[in-house]
Amino acid sequence: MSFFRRRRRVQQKQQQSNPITLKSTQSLDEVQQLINKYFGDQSDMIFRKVGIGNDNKHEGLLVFIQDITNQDYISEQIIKPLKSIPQQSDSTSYIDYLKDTILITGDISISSDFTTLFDDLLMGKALLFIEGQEQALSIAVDDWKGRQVEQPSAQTVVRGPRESFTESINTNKALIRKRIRSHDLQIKSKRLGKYTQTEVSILYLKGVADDDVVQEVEKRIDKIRLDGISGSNQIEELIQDDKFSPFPTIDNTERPDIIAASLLEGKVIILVNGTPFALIAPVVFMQFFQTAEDYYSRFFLASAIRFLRFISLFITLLAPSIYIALTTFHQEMLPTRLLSNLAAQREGVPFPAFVEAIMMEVTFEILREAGIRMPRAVGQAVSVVGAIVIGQAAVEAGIVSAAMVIVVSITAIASFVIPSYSIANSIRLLRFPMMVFAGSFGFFGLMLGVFAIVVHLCGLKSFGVSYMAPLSPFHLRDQRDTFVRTIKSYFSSKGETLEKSKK
Amino acid sequence: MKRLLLGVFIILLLTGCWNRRELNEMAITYGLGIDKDGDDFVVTAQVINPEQVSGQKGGGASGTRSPVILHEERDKTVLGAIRKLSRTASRKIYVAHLYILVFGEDFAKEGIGDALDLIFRDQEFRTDFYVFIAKGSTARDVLATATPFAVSPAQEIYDRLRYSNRHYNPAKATGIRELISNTTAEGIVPVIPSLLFEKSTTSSNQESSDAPVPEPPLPTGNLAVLDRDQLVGWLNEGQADTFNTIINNIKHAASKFVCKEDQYGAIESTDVKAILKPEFKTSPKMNIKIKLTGKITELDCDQFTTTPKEIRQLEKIIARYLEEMHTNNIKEVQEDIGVDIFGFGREFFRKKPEAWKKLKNNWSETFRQLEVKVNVAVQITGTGTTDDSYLKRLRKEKNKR
Repeated sequence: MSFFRRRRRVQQKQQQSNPITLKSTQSLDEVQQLINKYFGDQSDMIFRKVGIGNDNKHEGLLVFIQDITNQDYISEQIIKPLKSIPQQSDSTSYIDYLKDTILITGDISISSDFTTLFDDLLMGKALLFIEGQEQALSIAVDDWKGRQVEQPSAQTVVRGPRESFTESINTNKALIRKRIRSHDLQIKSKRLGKYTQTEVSILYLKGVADDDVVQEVEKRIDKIRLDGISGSNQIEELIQDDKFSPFPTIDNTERPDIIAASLLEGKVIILVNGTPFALIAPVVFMQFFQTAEDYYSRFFLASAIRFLRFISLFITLLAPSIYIALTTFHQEMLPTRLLSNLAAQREGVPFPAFVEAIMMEVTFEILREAGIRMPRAVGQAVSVVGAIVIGQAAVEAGIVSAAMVIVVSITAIASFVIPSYSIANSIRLLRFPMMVFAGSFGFFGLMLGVFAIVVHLCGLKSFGVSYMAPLSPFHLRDQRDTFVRTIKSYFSSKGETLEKSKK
Repeated sequence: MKRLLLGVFIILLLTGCWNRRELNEMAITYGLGIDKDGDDFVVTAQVINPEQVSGQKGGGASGTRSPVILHEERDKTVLGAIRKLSRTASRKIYVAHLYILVFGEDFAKEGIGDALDLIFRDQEFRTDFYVFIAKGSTARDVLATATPFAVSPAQEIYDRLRYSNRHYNPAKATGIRELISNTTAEGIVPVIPSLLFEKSTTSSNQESSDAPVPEPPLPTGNLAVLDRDQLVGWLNEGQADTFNTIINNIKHAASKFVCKEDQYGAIESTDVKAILKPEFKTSPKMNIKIKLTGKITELDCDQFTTTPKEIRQLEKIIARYLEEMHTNNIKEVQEDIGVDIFGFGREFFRKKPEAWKKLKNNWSETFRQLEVKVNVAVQITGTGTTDDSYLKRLRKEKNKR
C-alpha cells in the first residue's frame, strides 16, 4: 500500500513542476481542451460560451462545476450583466473593466496562472476566460450543500444557547463572530491536505491570547503534511504535546458559546472545515470537568455538581480495582457483616475476583460499543439483552457475584457523568491497568498505579501550560473556578494559569 | 519514562506483608476459645458459614444448614492448633474479623499469659474483639451454643457485652489491648468480664438437632480479677459498679440510691467522672472525687423536688448514699480480693512518683491497708417531665382509706 502511494506522489510532483500560464494567443477551444486534459472528462463540469455585450463583440468562456455553484446566481449576476454591456469601451485592460464595472459580486480575482485558476474552480468559483486576453477572472459563486445550524447533540444544556457548529467552516466562523464583535478577533486560514485542500482556521483574541502560544499553534499546523484531512481529530493528534499520553491535551467542543468563552480566556481555537467540532488549546486537566451548564446555572448548584463529577472520576477509575483489592487482599478492612455477605455471594463463584471483574467490565464495554454503532431500531434489543447479561441472570447462573454487578454498574454510570467525552474515554481505558495493579498487589499496587498517573499528569504540558494547573503549580486566584465556581466577572476571565505559564 | 519505571520497581521492593486470597478460600472465624488440657492448648474456633449468616436466601438444600461450625484442635502452641484446624475446616482460619476471645475458667486459673503472645503478635488479629472468661465452664461450651435470632452466637455475645457495658453499670467489656497492657502495667491488674450460663435457659426451637443446644451465656456483673495473668477472684455486682465508676467506665447509666429505708430512687447519669488524688504524708492515702450529673428518673421518696432548695437537699442525700456504698465496696475488695484492680498504684506512679518508689515493692500489702476516702458530688439537672413524684400522692390517697 505504502509502496503505491509513494509512486503516485512522485508522479504528482513531476506534473506540478511545470506551471502553465494563460497566453493571449490561446483560443477558447484550446483553453477548454487544456482544462479537459487536466481534469479528465468531468460530467459535472460546465463549459458555457457567452457572447459579451449586446453586440456579442467579445466571446467568453464560463467554466464552473455544476454541483457546488449557485446556478441562479451565475445567470443573474454573471451572464445577464455580460450580455447587457451597453457600449464597448476601448480601455486597455478589458478584464479590469469587467471586474470593476460590470460584474458586481463581492469576491472576484484575476489570474493567469492555471494552477491557481484550477484551485479556484474546485473551491466553487466560476472561471471566465475572454478571447484574446492573457488573464482570466474567477468569480465566487460557490454554494456548498450543508446542514443548517441545529441544536447541539453531544453537549446539551438546560439553560443556555442552543446553537451548535455545523460542518461548514464559514457558518462556524459566523457563529463565533456573532458572539465576539471585536476587531481583536483574529482569524487566520490555511489549506491543509494535498487532495482535500481542507480549510483550517486559527482564531484568537489579539491582546488576550499569548502570542507565543499562537505562534506555536501555527508552527505545528504548518508542519502537517497529509494527503487528506477528514476531521479535527487528525489535527488534534498531530499537534498535541504528548502523542502517547492517554490524556487529551486539546479540548474540543461543538458549542460556539464555549468557544467564545475560551477566546476570552486567551485560548487559541482551531476550526476545521467539514467538522462540527472546534479545537481549544491550551487546555488544563480541570477544565474537562467543567461544562457550559456550570455557567448557566446558579453557582451553588454548579459547584456541588462539580464535586459530584470528581467523585465520579474516582469511581470510574478505581471502583472495580478497589473491589478487587478489598476482596482478595484486605478483607480485614471490610465491616464484618459486609464481609460475611460478600463471602456468601462469592460462595460458588468459580473465578477469582480479578477475572470476574475483568469479565464483567469487558462485557459492559462490548455492550456499550454495540449500543453506539447499532442502528437505532436494533439498539433497543441490545439494551434488553445487555440488562440480562450483566444483570440478575449472570448472578443466578453463578458466574459472577451480585456485588460485582453493582460495582460494574456504578462504574459505568459514573463514567457517563464526566462531561468531556475525550477525558472520560481515557479514564475508562486506564481503569483496566488499575485493575491489573489491584489484582496483583492489592491496595499497594493500586497506590502505585495512582501514583504513576499523578506523576504523568503533573509532567504533561499543553502548549507550554502545565496540565495540572492551577493545582500544580498552584494559582490561588484561579481556585475561584476550579473545584467550585464562584461568581466572577466574565470579562476579566483570563486566569492566572495562562498568564503565569508564560516565562 | 525510564525513570518512572525505575521508581515503580524500587517501590516494589518496599512491600510489607500481604497475601492474595479469595473470599471463598477463608474460614471466617467469629469466635475463638482457648482451654488447656494437660500441656496442650485446646483451641476452639467458631467458623461461620457465610451463606447462612448473610441475609441472602439459601438455595434449596442448603437452607437447613447451621450458620456456624465448630472446630476443635489441640497442640503445644496456639498457632499450631489454629493451623491444625484447617484439617477439619478445609480452609484457612481467618481471624481478622474475630468478635470474641474466650478463656475457660480452669485455664484462666492457671494463667492465660502463654496464649496472649500470639494474639498480640500476629498481624492478622484486628484487636477490636472482646476478651472474657467463661465462668464455671470451658471456652468450648460457650462457643458451642446456638442463638435463635442472631446469626452467630459469637456475634450475639459480642453485642451483649457491648450494650451491657454501655447501659448496665456493673458490666464491662475488655479489649485485648487493655488486657495485655494491664497484665504488665505497674500498679494495676486487669479485670475482664465473665459470662455465665443461666441454668434454666435451653432453647426450645431446636427441633432439627437431637440434643438441646444451650443458648449463649449472659454477661454478668461478676467481673473476673486477674493477678497479672491468673484468675484470683470475682467481683460481685456492687463491687463491679464501684470499679466501673472509679475507672471511669460509666457514661450513661442509672444509679440506684436509697433515701430512707425501703425508699428507692434512681438517677440516670449523663456524665460521671471520678478523679483520683493520691496523697502521701506519713502514710499513703487515696482521695476519690466522683462527680455525677444526671436527672432523676425514679423517685419513691418523701423529698420534694419542686424548688431548687429541695433539689439541693436531694442531691446531698444521694451523694451521701453513694459515698457510703463506694467506700464499703472498696473496702470489700481490699479485704477479700486484695489486688489493686482500681489502679490506685498507677495513680501514685503517675502523680507521686517519689512516693511510688517507696511503695511499689510492697504494694499489694499497702493496697490492702490503703486509706481510701470517697467524696461524691451530685448535680441534678432535671426531674424528667414532672416534679414531685406521683407516688407520693398515690400513697396519700391510699392512707385515706
